[in-house]
Amino acid sequence: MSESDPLESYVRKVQADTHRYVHDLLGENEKLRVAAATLQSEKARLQEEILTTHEKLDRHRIEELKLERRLAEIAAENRRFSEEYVLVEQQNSNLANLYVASARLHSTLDRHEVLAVIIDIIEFLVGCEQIGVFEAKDGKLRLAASKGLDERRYAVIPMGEGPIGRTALTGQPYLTAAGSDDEEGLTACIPVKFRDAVHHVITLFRLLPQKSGRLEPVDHDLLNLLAAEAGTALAAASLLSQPDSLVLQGEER
Amino acid sequence: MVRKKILLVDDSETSLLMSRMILSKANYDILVAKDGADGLERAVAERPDLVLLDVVMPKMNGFEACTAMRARRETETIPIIMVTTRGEGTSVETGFKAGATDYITKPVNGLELLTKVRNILGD
Repeated sequence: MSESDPLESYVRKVQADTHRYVHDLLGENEKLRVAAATLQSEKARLQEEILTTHEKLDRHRIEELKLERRLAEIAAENRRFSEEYVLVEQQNSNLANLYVASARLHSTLDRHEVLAVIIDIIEFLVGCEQIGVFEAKDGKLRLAASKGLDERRYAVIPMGEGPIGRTALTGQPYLTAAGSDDEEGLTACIPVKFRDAVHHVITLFRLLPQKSGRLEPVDHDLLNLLAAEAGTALAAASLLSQPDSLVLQGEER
Repeated sequence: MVRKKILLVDDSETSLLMSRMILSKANYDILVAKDGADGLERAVAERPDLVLLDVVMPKMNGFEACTAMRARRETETIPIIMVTTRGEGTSVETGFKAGATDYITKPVNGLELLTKVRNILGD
């Protein structure tokens, strides 16, 4: 075959093209191999990152659960503190009630003023709109001070008669049960004593509508204080105005 | 910080002492008036941050005093809490018609009073 043989020339050209084509393919293949390796490595890195993120997520979930639990604990603690605050404020208010009652009872030595203070305390600290204070004298109870009462009806009560008279006679307080319907509207009779002798009876008839018809524990505390302190206050006032009356009567009894 | 002033208007020494006891621990300056007319005079002169106004009083009752305070430029915006002995609707309604901001019933509950006062004064 001569150089000028067209067939030979064609074969050489095809061989050269094939060689170049194979070379290009090999080059391309190498590029793809590198790209695949890079992708593999990227995939591995991403998988590791996903794993780390999952771990972080798990840790955060645990942390979140812990925080939620702590939050619930703090909320419960907060509720407890609020309840305690209300309780303490209530106790403060009750103590203030007692302090005010005691301070007011001993703020004067005038008998009429002491009686007015007793009415004031029952009206504004207990919440009663019909009040009577009876004085035990000569075997009878005489209405000494009142608010919202029919004074003629309750002017004199024989000792031992009805709840008021019995309270004076026995020295035992009379309290109607919550919701009971006393025909006179009587809620409580409190004996006021000095040296163990009853010399006055404080009577509470109708309570204010917002009291729901019953005395509360704080009212009982206040009435107990009145039973004791009002006795002393009235005795002191009587002693000053009539030195030979109440104290001597107490001694005679 | 300037202490807020509360004017107590009540003819009952017992009620006044009780309100003072409750409010004293909350660091307010307490002013006192013994009837509605005196209360109006003190409110105009002192411009308190809040007035606690009893209803049943001599000279000028709480409703009249409240209406008078609302009619005066110096006191028209001062919050007024009516302190009513009877908590029935008519009494409360009369108070609101007279211009009261809120009301509270006797016997005063310490916590309720403090809460209302703090709410109104934004404390």
